[in-house]
Order: sequence, then structure tokens, then C-alpha cells
Amino acid sequence: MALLEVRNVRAGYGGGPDILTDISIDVEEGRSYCIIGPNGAGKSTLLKTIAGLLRPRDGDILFDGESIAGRRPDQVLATGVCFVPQDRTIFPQMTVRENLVMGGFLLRDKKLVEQRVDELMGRFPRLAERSSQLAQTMSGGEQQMLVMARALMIQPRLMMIDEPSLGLAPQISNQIFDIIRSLSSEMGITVLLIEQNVKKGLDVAEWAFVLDLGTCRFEGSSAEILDDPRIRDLYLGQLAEAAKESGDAE
Amino acid sequence: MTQVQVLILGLLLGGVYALMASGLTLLFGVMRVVNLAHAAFIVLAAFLSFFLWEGAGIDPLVSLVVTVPVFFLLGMAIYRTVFPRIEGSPRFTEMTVLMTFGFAFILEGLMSKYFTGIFRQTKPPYAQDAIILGDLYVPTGQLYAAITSAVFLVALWAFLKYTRTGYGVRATMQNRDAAQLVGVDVRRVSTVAFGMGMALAGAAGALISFVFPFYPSRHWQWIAILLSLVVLGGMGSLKGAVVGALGLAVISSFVSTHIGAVWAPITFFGALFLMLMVKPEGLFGKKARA
Repeated sequence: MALLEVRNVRAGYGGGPDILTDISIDVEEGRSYCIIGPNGAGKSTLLKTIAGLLRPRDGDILFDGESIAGRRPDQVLATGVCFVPQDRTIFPQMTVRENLVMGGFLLRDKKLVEQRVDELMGRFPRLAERSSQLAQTMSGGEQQMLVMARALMIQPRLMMIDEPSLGLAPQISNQIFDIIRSLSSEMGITVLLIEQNVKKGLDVAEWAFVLDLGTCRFEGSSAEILDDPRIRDLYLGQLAEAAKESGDAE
Repeated sequence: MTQVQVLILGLLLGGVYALMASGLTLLFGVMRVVNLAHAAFIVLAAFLSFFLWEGAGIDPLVSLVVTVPVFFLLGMAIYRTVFPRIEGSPRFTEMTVLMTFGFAFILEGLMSKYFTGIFRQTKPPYAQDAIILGDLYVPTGQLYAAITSAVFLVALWAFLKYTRTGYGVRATMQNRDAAQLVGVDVRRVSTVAFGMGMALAGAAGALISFVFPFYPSRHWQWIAILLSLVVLGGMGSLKGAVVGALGLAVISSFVSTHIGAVWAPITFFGALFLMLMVKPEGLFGKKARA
């Protein structure tokens, strides 16, 4: 049985159209996955729906055999599924340490929270150095690191990360990718990653889902997907569409 | 009158304004609700204290034990019944302005009908007394009101700083999405925060019942002042509301003494205009994200 099963999910925002039209994916425990696809394919929407930020209109989501579809975000989190969205959702006026403490909000046990904060400070020396600094004063890369460390506070089984390298210098984003690699290789956490830089994403993950128009078109090992001619078509197809649309506009 | 005397009167007034404004800024900070009915609820609480005083001889400071819990429950009930309808709307904050504007009218209408438009004031003995220190005098009513306000504000601060729910409230104020992602049930936190915002209105009402004469439509004057000092301090910032309240009350107190009492209300709006021109996000406000 897969750790996470997404079954024929349909979802969208407010009264708007379906962004996810009919998507099904299986995620096995302990592996790392990358979701790729053109803009508007529904990548972020898929993660938001799994995280409980968006209620599926149809279909089911099973985590560890249990349905989590339609649960509140805090209830989904309590099962061990955490989500790191792309906009670096820090608490700007709290210190780095307080941000991490907030990550343990569900734990309720102050001693345990302190213990885990110290563990994470050991794992991320950069955060330890900035422990009492306000989170808003840190660089983009440090904030991304902080959000990921904060998500680790509950020792999640599945970590979903949306475009961690967005807006970061290549050197910094490489550090972030190293951390993501260590999540699955050292900590045994299942990783579900969205990455706009397809090459980088496939380099980090073992397996890839290719999304287009709200559904999973195909999947395969990262090596296979990288060489798959359909990938080029998908992205080039979008470029061609865009060129056509802008041509129409004129 | 000496400058120190003017300063004292300004600070005492500011203390009460700070309490009145704290609930307003809390609601905006946590839920992005602009509660135009906040002052109307304060007047309602003042009436509650007034009737307890007239009917049962209960001191307005003692009536706090009634107004605060009653308004806490009232706030949670209002939040749960009314706000889910507009939650998730892309124009949520704008809609709360219209909705609470309606609440203010309804409350004012009901109070005018049942309590009449007569000036009311509770008159415990200390409200007419003063402490004389050399050539300074400190009106005891305002002193007690300011001290009580300070107690409530410190309690609020301690709650936000040291309790688990308080952490949840602060997290939601700083970043609602992030709060949700670390497992804060923002709906529950919002309900509690709304109750607390209203409890602060309940406390403020009991205090103003002996500091200012009041009548149902007086709330318009107060909400205008409260909004100006909340915006000045930075919408959603408690520190800003307190600093704004104390600062503006002191300035208006000086204006009132040296230029003339009719100019005092202008201080608040003048300062507001200046702040909006120079630093639109307010003293301690967050810059709006593009």
C-alpha cells in the first residue's frame, strides 16, 4: 500500500473552474518525488488540496490508508503531512527560535518542543547563529531554510515542498537542494517536490509525475522522464500556445 | 495650568483610549475585520454598567465582572453566526466594513429606542473626586480608569506572549497561512480573538460609563477617534494602538489647553492625515504586500 494515494481528485478555487480535473497518484514511503509540468498544470493546487488548504470537489485522498480529504490543515498536519509553500511563510516579527517553536504548535509538550528546537539548531548551524534574530531580517535562502526546519518540528512522514528555489541565487538554491536530498536519504522522510527547474528537480528526486491540465499525464523514474521527448513537447507546446495567444492579441 | 498637569490629563485620557482601541486593532490584526461597530458595542457595555449602577447600585469597576464575560460570549456568538457567510470572499475586509457599519446603525437604533437619547453617566463617588499633589490635581475617576485599562492591556499582552492560544493568535496576526501550516486552527483562534476583542469593548464600556457622559449616538465620535489612532499606530498592531492612543491624547490635551477645546478632536484627524502622507502603514504597521 502506498503512503499517499490521491484518487480521482477534482478541485478548484471558490466558485471557479476545476484546476485539478481528475488526478490520481501514488506515493511510496521513504522515496522522493518531483512534480513537473507547465504553468497552470495544477501542481501547487494538488499540494494545497493534499494539505487541506483546499477541499477536493470529488475523489479521495488517503494517507497511510486513512482518508484525509476535506480535513482541516491542522488535522492533516497531525497525521504527519506537512507543506512548505512557495512564498516563504515565516512569522516575520518572531525570532528564528520562536518560529521553530511555532512549528511545534501541535506537540503541546514544552520540553519536547525545546528538545526538537535544539536538535534542529544542531542540524542547521546557520539558523542557530541567527537564533534570536527576527525572521523578517533574514535573506531569502535563510527564510526558506527556516520554513523547512519549522516543518521538521513535528517529524513529518511526508514533506511537500513547493518551488523551494524560487528567487534564490544558484549557489543558495543548491544548498537548499542538498537539504532536501538529506530529508529522504538521512531522515527517511518521503518528499514530494514541485520544481520549475526540471533538471534540478529530477536530479533531486527519484521519481517524477508529469502534470498537465489538472491531471497526471505520465510518470516514471527521473532518468526516464529526463529523456522523454514528451517533456519537451509539453513545455514547447505551452510556449507555442503562448506565442499564438500573444499573436492573437495583436 | 502647568505643562505637567496637561501631560497627566492627556496620559489618563490616552490610557482609556488605548483600551478602547486595543479590541479594534486585535480584530483587524487577527481576522482582517474592520469593526465600525466597536464603539457602539462600547456604548452598549456602558449602558449595561449604567443599569447595574442605577438598578442594583453595583460600582462600574465591579460591573467589569459582568460586562467582560458577557461581551466575550457575545463576540464569539456574533463571529460564529455572521462571519462564516462572508469568509473566503476576496473582498472580505471591505465587506466587514459594510456589515459592521450596519451593526452600528442597528445597535444605535435599538439603544435609542429602549434606553432613549438622554446623557447618561454612572456616578460612583471617586468619579467626582481628585487627588491633589501640590499644585497638580489628578481626577480619581480617570486615574482608576487608566489603571484598570493598563491592567487589561498587560493581561492581554501576557496572554498573547505566554499562552498556547496566545501564540496561535500572534501567529495568525503575523501570517495567517503560516499559522495554518504549523497546525493552528485559525477558525477557532479567530473565534476566541473576536470574543476577546469584544471583551475589551465590554471593559472599556464599564470604564467610560464614569469617565464620559454617553448616549447612543456618541459612538460615531469615538469610532472616528479610535480608527484614526489605530491607523496611526499601524492597523493590527497592539503596540501601535497603545502608543497612538497615548501620544494623540497627550497632543490633543495640549491643543485643548493652549489653542482651545474645540480644536482637540482635529488633532486626531490632523495626525492621521500627516501619517498617511508620510508613512501610510502607520507607526508599527506592516507594509501591504503587493
